[in-house]
Amino acid sequence: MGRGSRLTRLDAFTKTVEDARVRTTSGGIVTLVSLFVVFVLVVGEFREYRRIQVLPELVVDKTRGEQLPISLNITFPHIPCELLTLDVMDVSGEQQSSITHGIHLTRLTPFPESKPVSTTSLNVHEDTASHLDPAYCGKCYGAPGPEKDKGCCQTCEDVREAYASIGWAFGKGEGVEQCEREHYAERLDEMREEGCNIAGHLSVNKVIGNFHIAPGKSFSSAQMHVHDLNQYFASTKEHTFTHTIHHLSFGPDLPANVKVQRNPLDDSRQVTQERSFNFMYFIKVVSTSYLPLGTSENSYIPGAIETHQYSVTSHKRSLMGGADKEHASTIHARGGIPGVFFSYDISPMKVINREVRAKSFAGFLTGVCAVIGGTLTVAAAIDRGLYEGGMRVKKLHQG
Amino acid sequence: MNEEFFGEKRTSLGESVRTFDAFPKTRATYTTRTPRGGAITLLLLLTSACLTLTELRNYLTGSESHTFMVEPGIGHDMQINLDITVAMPCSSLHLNVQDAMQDRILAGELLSREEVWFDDAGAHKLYSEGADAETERRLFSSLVGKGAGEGGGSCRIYGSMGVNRILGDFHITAKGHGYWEDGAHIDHRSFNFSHVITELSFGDYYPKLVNPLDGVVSKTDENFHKFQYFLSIVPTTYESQTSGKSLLTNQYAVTEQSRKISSHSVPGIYFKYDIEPISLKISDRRTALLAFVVRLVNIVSGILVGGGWVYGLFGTLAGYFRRQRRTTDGMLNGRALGDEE
Repeated sequence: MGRGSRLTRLDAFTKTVEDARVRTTSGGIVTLVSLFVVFVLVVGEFREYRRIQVLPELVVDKTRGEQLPISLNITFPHIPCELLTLDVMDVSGEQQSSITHGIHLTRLTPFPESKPVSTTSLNVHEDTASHLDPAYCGKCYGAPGPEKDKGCCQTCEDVREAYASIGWAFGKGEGVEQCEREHYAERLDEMREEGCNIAGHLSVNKVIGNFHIAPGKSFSSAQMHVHDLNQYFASTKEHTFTHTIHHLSFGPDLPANVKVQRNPLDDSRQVTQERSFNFMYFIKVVSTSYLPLGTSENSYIPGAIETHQYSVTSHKRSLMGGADKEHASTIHARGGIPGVFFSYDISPMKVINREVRAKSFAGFLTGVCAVIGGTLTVAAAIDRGLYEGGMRVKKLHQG
Repeated sequence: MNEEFFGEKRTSLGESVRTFDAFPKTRATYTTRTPRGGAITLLLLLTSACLTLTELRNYLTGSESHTFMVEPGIGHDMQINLDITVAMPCSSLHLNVQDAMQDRILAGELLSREEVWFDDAGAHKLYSEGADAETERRLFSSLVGKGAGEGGGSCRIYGSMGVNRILGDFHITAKGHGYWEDGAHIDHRSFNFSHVITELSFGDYYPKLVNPLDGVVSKTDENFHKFQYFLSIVPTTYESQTSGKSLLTNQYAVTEQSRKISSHSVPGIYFKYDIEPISLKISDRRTALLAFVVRLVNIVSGILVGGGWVYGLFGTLAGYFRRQRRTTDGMLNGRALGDEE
């Protein structure tokens, strides 16, 4: 294109002819320094561009009919497993009594050692009475027997269940043939010193409810939830509900890069010296999901996590009631069941933790251009200042 | 002295560094300065000074950001701060808290009470005008000026108390009604649960905290009237990044419901509170100094370059329309075609 072309005339980047240019050492230094600055800033921009942010959003939880998974691991150093029962109750009226499915009870040696007892050495029940006559049908002592065995109570456990189902206190099984054959009373006494660890998973309806770990078989009597506390209080050994919660969560863990406090009750410990003492945890469960990069509303992504967080308030009281030892003006209610109660409530809000790039690619390019342009312009200004200042000083000296 | 002034000794080092100079200067003899260019420069400098000042002000003021999270930690207690005047004598009032733990907190023992005259005007003004010294003095004199012995027929209940941090119900009722107490039965005609709430807050005080119930007046002529306030308490952390301090306190939302009730019910003032699981975090932050400087540099250089370029473009266009040819100067140096006229 010739010099007269229209494009030439539109050239916004006019060049100085080479003859009219001056290169100076100060200019060289400024250039090198500014290049270094540009390099550092561009690296910063790049890191900002590659950074993945987790942005929390708050929405109303619109999912329906979900189950709430609970996973727990709690140690009771002063109560044998034989006495512990885990029950779930909720406002829908559903009750799960004496949950065993998915829950493992591990017997622990007496406190303070508290190591797992090898279960083969001492087994409280023989689950099946296989050594007996196949036609054997044990008496249930007036209680309705289990249906699976045509109303026969084959084991001591069956008799206990039968008693609990109609709300009779069982005691230590004196005079009950099955229990004497299994040496239930002796074994119970042997275990008095032991502790227990409850660990496992259960699933509950996602409505307000509570699950509790309390002594004795539970049963419903006239709309009331009752536990057979006979053996707990009859014991000569001092059982208490001192406990350590190793883990309590409602769903899988969030990835480590989500900055939230994980399960607040993990590794918490509560101590009591009183036998009739009640621990209460008020838990509010908030649905939480984690959506990794690239998740859209409707597609399923392998890394997506649906879980729950919770906030908790803990309280305890003696069942004797009366004034609190630390707060004289607080009067505790009297009565109730000793044990550890978890009362859970479901929040209507849901937290969505969404992975996003801190910057888009266009934003990154803009940032790089801004960095380069800004730095070079400033450097040019500095350099020009140095040059012209120097010229002036030179003229001064000459003049 | 000549070129060597800049330390341009003819050493090999100086020579090699010099070749890197990406900012070749035009010799003064080849550049011109025009009044118009000077004016534009001044204008651009003014603009950048303005923007710099704005940025500086933003930087110094800082910004406030709101985040939320599911409340961490294990809660136990919560503090209720209360200052309320009820149009009934103190001797006939009963204060109590009952909560989901079925604990009963004898609020009457934890809060102070004194006989005052009922004055709703002062309280309301105090609310609407904030720290107005005159109203405050008037309110103070109207509330405290009357000694307990004199008796104003109204009761001011004030103080702080710790309660369990769970769903609960704090209520002010008449003695002998609602609870089985060995106290006197109060005459039904003396019931009047009109009240002024001077303050109701949960947790520590923070200047930015607005408690919606402060300064609220509710009046009734009925003897059997039930005032209910339903409070949702939101744990709130105020955090200052500059000082690194944070304060955990609570805000609340409230709905009010009041109605006349039959003489078989228990009249009174009820505050039913529940704690929200999601807590707010309000943090005051300031951009980092380096980020601020980078931003300033961006702004100033942007204006100078952009301004120079636009100025140059105008000159180019002017020249183009006049179909005149000129030798040109570098636009990035802020000189344009038209200047040489």
